[in-house]
Amino acid sequence: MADTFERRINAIRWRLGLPFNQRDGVEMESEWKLLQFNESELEMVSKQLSKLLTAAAYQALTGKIHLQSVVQDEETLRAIWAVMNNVVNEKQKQLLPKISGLIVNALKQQGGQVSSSKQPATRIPTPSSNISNRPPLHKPPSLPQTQPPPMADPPNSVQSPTKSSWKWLPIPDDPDKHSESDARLFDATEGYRLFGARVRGKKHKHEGTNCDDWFECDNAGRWTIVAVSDGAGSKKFSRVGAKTACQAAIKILKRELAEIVPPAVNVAEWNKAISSRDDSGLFLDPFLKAIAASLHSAMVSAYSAVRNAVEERCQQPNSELYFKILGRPIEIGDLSATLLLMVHRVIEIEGVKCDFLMACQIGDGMVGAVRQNGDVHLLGKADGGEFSGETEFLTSNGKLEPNYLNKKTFVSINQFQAMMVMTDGVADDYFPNNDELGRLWSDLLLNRIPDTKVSADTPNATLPPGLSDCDEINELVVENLSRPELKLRSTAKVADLIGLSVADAAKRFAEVSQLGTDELHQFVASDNNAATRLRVWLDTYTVRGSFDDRTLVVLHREDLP
Amino acid sequence: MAEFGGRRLPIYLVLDTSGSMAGEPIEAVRQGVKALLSDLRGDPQALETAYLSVITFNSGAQQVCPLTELMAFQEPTLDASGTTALGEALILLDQVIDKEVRKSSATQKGDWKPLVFLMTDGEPTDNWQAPADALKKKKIGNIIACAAGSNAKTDPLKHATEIVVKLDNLQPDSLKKFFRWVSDSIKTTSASVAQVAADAPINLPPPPPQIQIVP
Repeated sequence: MADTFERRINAIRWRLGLPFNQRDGVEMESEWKLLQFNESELEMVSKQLSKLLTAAAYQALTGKIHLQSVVQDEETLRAIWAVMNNVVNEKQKQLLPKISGLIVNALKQQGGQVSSSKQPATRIPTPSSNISNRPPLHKPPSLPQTQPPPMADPPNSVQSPTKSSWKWLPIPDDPDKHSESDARLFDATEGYRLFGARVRGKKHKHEGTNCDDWFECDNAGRWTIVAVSDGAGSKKFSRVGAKTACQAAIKILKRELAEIVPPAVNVAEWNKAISSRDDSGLFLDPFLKAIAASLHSAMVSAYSAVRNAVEERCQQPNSELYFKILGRPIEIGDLSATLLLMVHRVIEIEGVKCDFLMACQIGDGMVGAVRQNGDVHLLGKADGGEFSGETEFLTSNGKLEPNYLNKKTFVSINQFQAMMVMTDGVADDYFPNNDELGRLWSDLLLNRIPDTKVSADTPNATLPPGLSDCDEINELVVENLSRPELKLRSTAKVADLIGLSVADAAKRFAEVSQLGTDELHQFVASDNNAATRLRVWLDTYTVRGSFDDRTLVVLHREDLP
Repeated sequence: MAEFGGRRLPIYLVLDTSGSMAGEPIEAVRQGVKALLSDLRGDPQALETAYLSVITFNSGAQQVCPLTELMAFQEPTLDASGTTALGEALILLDQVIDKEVRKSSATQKGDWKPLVFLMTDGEPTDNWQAPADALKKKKIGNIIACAAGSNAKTDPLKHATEIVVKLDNLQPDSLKKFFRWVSDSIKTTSASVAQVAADAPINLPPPPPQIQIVP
């Protein structure tokens, strides 16, 4: 090991009790005393150190190293931190107390001698008693599509700390009964995968009402089309609006897009086209204008279809059924729903394959795309008033005016890893979207939801050794009231445990997804695919105050890190 | 407990604690608030999103409980004496809502529209008209005002809000029913908060016989 940088890192490994390289005739004590790093090495060292510290913390927690051999007393511990403090950058400095806290606590647990610790004790995930003798995962039936068991001990009511009990009531046999949930795989452009799922939210399960969300996807030549809709919660037949709108929109887009071929122009011309709009927001470039026009036609057609759906239900004998339920004739407002449309195509610009995306939306929810480096591009701007819940609908006045739709139409061309369309039920849990959609993708990867083409021997040099294997990582669960036996993982918790900020962890898809879990694969074993895994995840992850129906459609590249 | 960054349903109870409330009535109000709390704590949706605050008014107005989540909420002590400064109460209400209720922004999840339950048993003794008119114009939330008992005047309340109800009397049973209705209204609202069109009228459950809606 001729390189002195390596030698010094080796010394730190030795001091922390991690595996190190003992060379003949080399006194580790003296190596340690020689520890100094120059300016140019600081960046590298800080990265190394955070990894080593984390590794040490984990190794200590799992009993793989005996901490007493690492630091005998607080003096030494402080000496290490002093060295670290000189070399880590500002960001890492915030993490040091946390990691040192972990080490100190581990020491205490092992009966090590530590006088007063200056660092605040950090919560250590204690292995729960049943981790090691957890019963083998049985294969429960895949998510029920029909009547769930009525009131008696609903699966959702579990020991939440506040002892609240969410009920899971069946969907009534009213007209236009929809299914609890849906999960579908779709064909996609070569090199891509497309899948979607929707689930009934806690609120609707508690009240025994329908899921109001809907989604549809299709392909037209090389175009991929996605439609997602969320029926208004306060409107009794909004689910009909959602379904009708999606199906009608897809039909139009499929027909119109088939004819439209992207021009073969260079980067500069594309940039110009994207940024050239007149005052009303209309694209000046003919290709973009044509795509936008199709999206807008689809919106108009969706509205007509919803109107027809109402008229059908005004005919005898159906009309009486609806009258009984509403106390008055059914009207279009009762089918109010949002509508989000996204179209995708692979285009070649100067020989490079890129993703072309255009989206148009009325109401809330979001269309967003994530790049490999974690950057998020939003293709939408949700409507909203001053207070929450004030959104617009396809059926509201003025939403089909070109002036309005143009301003709700967005385009993006780049190389994306994943492109997602979702209703508010999901968008709201990853807010603000421009910061948080990367975390959503990361959560999907962590739970091994998308089908990936990862090569088995992808080296994982960046995470501490043994991290994936240690039992504690199974505690990285989100609070799960639906299925307490199902252990999900979240980027936020992984970040916390490996000492990164959530924002940082959410950008490191390749690394973080190495810590993924196969729980969902096993849970849906009898019918295991990306869509069914997504459905269970949507139905299970828990966020306080989040009880809306959840719908997510994902289009992603096959070759994922 | 980490601060809940999600959308909260802010609920304000504005209660008359003037001299005429002394004795049985204020005791019944105390019981009513207790029952309201217990009731809401049993509702899973309310538990996650409802935040409660209490403003009392007599010769002056004071916020005796700032906006607090249900599990952490401590019932206030209520004592009755003094006059009926309704105007001051309305001004204070406006101020605390401005301060405590989060508005939607690009980086912040806004709260649901606040729910206000105001109860008074007598005639206001201060300058109430201007504050009432200002409040109605501002549309700070859904205000449900209750004129309790035979001495209460509905007219001042009508200046502040469209939704005014009359409570027969200040008997324990009537007040109990009132607070029950408040609780049901909250639960109905927290259940329908998702996607309410901006100016849609609030959906209240039918009141019990002791409460009449003032047209």
